[in-house]
Amino acid sequence: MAINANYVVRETTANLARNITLTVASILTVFVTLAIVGTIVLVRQGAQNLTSRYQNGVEFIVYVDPDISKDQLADVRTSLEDNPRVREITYVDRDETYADFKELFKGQDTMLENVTADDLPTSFRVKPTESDVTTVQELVNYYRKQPGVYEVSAATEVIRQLKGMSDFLNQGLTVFGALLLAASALLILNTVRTAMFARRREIEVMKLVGATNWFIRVPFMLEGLVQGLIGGLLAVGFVFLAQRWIDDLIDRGPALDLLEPFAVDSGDVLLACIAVSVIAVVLSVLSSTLATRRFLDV
Amino acid sequence: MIKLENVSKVFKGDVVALREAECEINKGEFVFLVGPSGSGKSTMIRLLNKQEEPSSGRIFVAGKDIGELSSWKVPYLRRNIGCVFQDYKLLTNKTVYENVAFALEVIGRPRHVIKTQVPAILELVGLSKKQKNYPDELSGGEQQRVSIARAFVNRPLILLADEPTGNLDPATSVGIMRLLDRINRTGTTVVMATHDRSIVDTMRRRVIELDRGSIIRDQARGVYE
Repeated sequence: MAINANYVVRETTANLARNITLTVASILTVFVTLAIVGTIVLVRQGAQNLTSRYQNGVEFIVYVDPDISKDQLADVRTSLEDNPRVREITYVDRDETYADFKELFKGQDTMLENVTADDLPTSFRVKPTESDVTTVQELVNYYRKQPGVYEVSAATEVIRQLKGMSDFLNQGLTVFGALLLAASALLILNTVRTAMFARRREIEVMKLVGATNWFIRVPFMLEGLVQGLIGGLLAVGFVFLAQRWIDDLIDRGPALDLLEPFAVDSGDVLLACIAVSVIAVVLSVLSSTLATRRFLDV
Repeated sequence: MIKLENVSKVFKGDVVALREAECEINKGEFVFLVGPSGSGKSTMIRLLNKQEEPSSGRIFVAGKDIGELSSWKVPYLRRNIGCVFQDYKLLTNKTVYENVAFALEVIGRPRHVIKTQVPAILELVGLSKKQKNYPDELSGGEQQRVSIARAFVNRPLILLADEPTGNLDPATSVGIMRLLDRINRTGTTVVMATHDRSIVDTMRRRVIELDRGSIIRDQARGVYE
């Protein structure tokens, strides 16, 4: 079967131009859909970067009561040392703590004048064997209830909150994205079907003079593919812009410093772009194949 | 060329369009299918190029059982069977030339073939001067000539015509019949369903008469009834 390239190009462009409003609607829907899909990929990558960054060297600090006796202090130390889930502990004594304190409140003289080294709790810096957030949280909760412990502080809660937020965002976007994917597929399907309906007389004649189904089908399938590809390209552009925008946002204020590990690198963007393009092709080919299949039954 | 073996066609709701039809049409024959509306003429024509499937029986075209033809081969069967209809089925957005060229283009014929074949066939049907006109600028007879040109441009073995003169006045019909006769003389088998008594009676060709789906007469050099 020889398919004339000229013929195919001419017919495809004619189809696209004939339903210009539907064509534009499909392209825009595909664009929005795939922009969201791209964003999902980026958010997912960002969340992964975030957790992996914090997962190395998650440690927590066990503050001991300031007026604790030596024996009690030894008890806390033994309890930490004997815990199989604790890898390493470092004791931070009064002088060190005070040094840290002075560093932290540098320039705030009233604070420095009123607090002496004796007012500050000493602490243990604890590195757990596993850096998994839940494990760390369990340890934190356990030591909070131990006698002689003043307070336990860990970054796990913040990480957990961030992770929870990004998971929520991710899930929301995924549901949203899936719905939009369905809408795009249906819209492409309908655009192609409308094009075929508009040309049903030509299709009838083609079938009667012995044009093969593929010959009839190809221009319509290409029509769907072109819509998918244009929408996909726009979405790829959007993903690039979105990355720069997020980067700018993170750079702008220290308030967002915490989000810094959330930043995605160009590899992640490339991944998002590839995902977007592949989905664009699969989506449009599938829906236009479906559209052309039923119509050709005679 | 064409052979029907015990062919029946029953539509939904037990409407029998064709009942145990048996006939054989040889290469180069000219056959009229006659009978009242709903007697099965159109169904018989639609069965021959596989627009319809028979409910039972076997149909041979050019020695092949077309019931056994896989669906992707159907287009190649149709390339050997030209079709002419009462309503012409021309594409109104294409010129006369483009309508005929379209039939060659969509079966993948190279451009140089199209460039020589289309003017030749338009010459044959007498429309050389109207090749740039659009169908709605032509008379009914001229439109039917375009449709015949399109059906014959690929030089099919068989030409099926379903009431080709149904919309035309008697004088114009005579012209169309002359054209079909001329095509028949090139060795093409022509099967034509018609209601037109005078045409059948003038031409004196083989007549197959159908009534409520049954072949009730098959007569060489026959008349309408």
